[in-house]
Amino acid sequence: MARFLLTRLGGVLVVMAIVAVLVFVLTRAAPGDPIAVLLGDQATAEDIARVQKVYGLDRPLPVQFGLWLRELAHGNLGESIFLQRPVTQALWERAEPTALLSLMAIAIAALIGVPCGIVSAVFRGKAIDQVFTGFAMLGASVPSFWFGLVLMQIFAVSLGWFPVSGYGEPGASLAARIHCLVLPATVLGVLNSALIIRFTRASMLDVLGEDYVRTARAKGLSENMVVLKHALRNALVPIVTVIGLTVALMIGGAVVTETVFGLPGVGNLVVSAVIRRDYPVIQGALLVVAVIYVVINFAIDLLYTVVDPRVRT
Amino acid sequence: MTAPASDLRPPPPQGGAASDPAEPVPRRPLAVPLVLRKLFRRRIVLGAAIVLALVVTLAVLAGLSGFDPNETAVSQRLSQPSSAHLLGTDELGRDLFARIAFGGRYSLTIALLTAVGSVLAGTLLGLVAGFFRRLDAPVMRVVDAMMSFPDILLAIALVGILGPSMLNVVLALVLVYTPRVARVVRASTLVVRELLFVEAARAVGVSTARILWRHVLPNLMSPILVQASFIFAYAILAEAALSFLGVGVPPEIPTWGTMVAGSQQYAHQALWIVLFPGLAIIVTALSLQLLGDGIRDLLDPRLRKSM
Amino acid sequence: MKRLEVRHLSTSFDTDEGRVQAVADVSFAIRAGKTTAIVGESGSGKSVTSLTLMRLLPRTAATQVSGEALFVDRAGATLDLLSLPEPRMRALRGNEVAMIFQEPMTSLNPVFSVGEQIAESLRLHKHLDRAAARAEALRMLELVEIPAAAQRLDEYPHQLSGGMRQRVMIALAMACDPTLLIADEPTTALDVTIQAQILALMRRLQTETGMSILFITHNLGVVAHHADDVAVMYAGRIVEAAPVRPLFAAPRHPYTQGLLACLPGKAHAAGQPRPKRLFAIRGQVSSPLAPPPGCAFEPRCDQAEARCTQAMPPLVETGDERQARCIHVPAAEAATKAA
Repeated sequence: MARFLLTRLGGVLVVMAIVAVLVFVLTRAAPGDPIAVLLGDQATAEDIARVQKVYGLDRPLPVQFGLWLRELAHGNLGESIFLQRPVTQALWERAEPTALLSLMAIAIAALIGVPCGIVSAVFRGKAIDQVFTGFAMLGASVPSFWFGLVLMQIFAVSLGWFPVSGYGEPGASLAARIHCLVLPATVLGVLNSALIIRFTRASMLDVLGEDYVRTARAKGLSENMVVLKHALRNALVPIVTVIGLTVALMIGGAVVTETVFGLPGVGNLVVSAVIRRDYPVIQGALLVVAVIYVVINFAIDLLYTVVDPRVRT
Repeated sequence: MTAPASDLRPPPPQGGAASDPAEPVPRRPLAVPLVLRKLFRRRIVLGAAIVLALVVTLAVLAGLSGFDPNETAVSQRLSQPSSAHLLGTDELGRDLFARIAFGGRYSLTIALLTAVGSVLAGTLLGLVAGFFRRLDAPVMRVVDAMMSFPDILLAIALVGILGPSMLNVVLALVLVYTPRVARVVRASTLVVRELLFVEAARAVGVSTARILWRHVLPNLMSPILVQASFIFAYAILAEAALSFLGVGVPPEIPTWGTMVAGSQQYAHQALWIVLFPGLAIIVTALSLQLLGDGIRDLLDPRLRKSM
Repeated sequence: MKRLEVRHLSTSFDTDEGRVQAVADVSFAIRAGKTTAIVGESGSGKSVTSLTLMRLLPRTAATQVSGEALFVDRAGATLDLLSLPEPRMRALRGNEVAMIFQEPMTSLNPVFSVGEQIAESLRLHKHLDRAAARAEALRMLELVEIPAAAQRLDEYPHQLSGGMRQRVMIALAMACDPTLLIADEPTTALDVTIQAQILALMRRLQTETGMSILFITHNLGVVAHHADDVAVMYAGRIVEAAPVRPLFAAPRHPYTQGLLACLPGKAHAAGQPRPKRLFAIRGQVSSPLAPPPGCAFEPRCDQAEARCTQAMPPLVETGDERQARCIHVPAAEAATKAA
């Protein structure tokens, strides 16, 4: 097993290296000069050149890349051109709403998705299966911003149960923060449960057709035991995979939802950075997000060894 | 009244030979190809295809009608759905139904181009990675790296770099979805590569390019088609999200996403101006996904067991 | 005493292409402590018969079952397996009536240890606590002659070979002292030397516990050595039934005769020169969707007459604990008696 993990780790590192290159190339390849934007119309060529030197933007590209990597190794993501703050700090400040939102959304998505998928599989072909499958298809077709706006209109504006936008006052309690996140988390969670329902259903159907399920029934076990103990354990592997996949979808989905609900999160930060061409922030955010995603996938691989003993030996 | 002689029946035999009454007269079979009949065996797939056809027709007609979707009539702003304006008007008095029909042109075109582009690029990558062992690892590592970013974030960054325009949105989305197609094509290529007829073709001396084109590619058609229809659906949703965020097409171009973006602050007064463009997106994306499902069932019935 | 008496069992399925009669009018009996074998080729309905008896068929509207399966339980009561309420049937399954399957590689749950899978059955039916169940599971593994049983207890199925997995399946089935063991081709997927060991094991367990065995197979050699009674199935029906020695000595139904003639070494009557070609029954089994109008075997039968296409011959008793489904049989019997 150690061997298996080491090979996976190697692959992960290679991917991360490529990610770093991609991120750098992506941001540097852009037309448009952030310095000119920052300094405004009145800036002279000398002003621009001077500020460029400060940010190291006047050096040749490979040199810039090397410098950037060196800074990375020290944990330094550079400094935001527009926010006048280290990127790391900017990201950290914004991390909490995004993280909290993603956690709540995954919980909602899994709590809806897995049971519905199991029920769908067990009662395959019956009405309840059609309903859940239809719901899953629908969930994958609804734009999250639209769903957010509609829910906001109904529950925040009309019914007043939740704040329309924002993350609460500075210094607000955790409970207040969570209250602000209920609507956006519902939007993300419900829409992403669609994928989980489909995967859970497919995985359970596969497992329910296996011989050992027949053996379990032949032992005289109740249908509940057969499904929940014998079948589910085996179906977990793909289900856990898709929950991991969903995390990536969450991070992406958070971008839109944060904008709709005015949450000061990482997604919002990235959007404004892109509009303003704040390279360090774009780079830093992309890198961090990619790393998180890769790490989560690796963690899921680790989880496989716990869930499926065949992988261990 | 006798039926007119048609080329469906052979002319009655002349002379004394008695025609055998038990022998059925041969008729030419109904011209609907078997493929379509099997595809639409599930009514919901047929429904989806019809809806899709309607949407496309509407979009095409809108373009041909010479109607100007940006024509404002501020006196009628934010009016509710009525007989004059089927779906109401937006904050500048523009008829919503017409704008949605027009928006369809742009949204559908962008999504279609994205689907075609990513399928072409992804198939090429996937074929290369799947067929040539030495290229497999490097190509797939790059693909993995590209898939390490959430779709929307990557698209935002790309459009941010390239600048907002229709072409750039297509380009960005193609880059986002190509890895997906590449993975699927590679997986199928790996399987087909090991099949005996490929080995046989190699043994006879057929060139690699020809093998790929004539033997491998036709067997990839079904997964490619399925991917294409799903990417079409995802692209519609992605373009809408990008445009909504302001990093998609420029706001003057009326896609479904820019419509919602422009009108969102009036949502509390007139929910329909946000509701209907969204419904257009939902209906189109849903139909495409149902169609994709139908194609998948048709071309790979083994999968039907678990889906 | 008859442990199980099956009367007029029929099972049919609704498929996309029509209704398939997988099992029709099957009647046989299994004596206590004895082994009855059901022999037939693939598609003859033998597996469906066993699944029907265990009520393990998918419970959809597309499946129709009729007939009776009278089982005598440990308390001496006679129950019809086919009409028991499901909870009652569950109490019997894995307990008094146990089943082992053909594919040992896939019949065990890969994520639970073999000890746990046996212990689960013991906890369920014998109400043992965890420690007692575990100890008993160990005893079962030793009973089926698994070497280093204590270590194997916590191992997973993928760590065992096919032969050992089948032993585990047997241990699982035997854990609650069944009075009837249904074995659906238990050795078909194993290689020949392991086959012999498994069969010997089952024989030994039968002698020790007095259980009855319903043995389903297509292997006549196994039948000859391990069965007490035989029922031959063709196209979903029993075409001949007899105790094993009389069946092999004097098969009456043309299908049985053909099967035995296929065995190399049997293909000639005593006194005649050995033929140079192997014998094979001509033709193929008819599709279940388009059965022949009369006897199902008629298209392939060298003794067929015009009468054979008119109606399905009934299964007749011929008095000496034998039955056959062929119009020739009573006549042959009368001729023998008369001669």
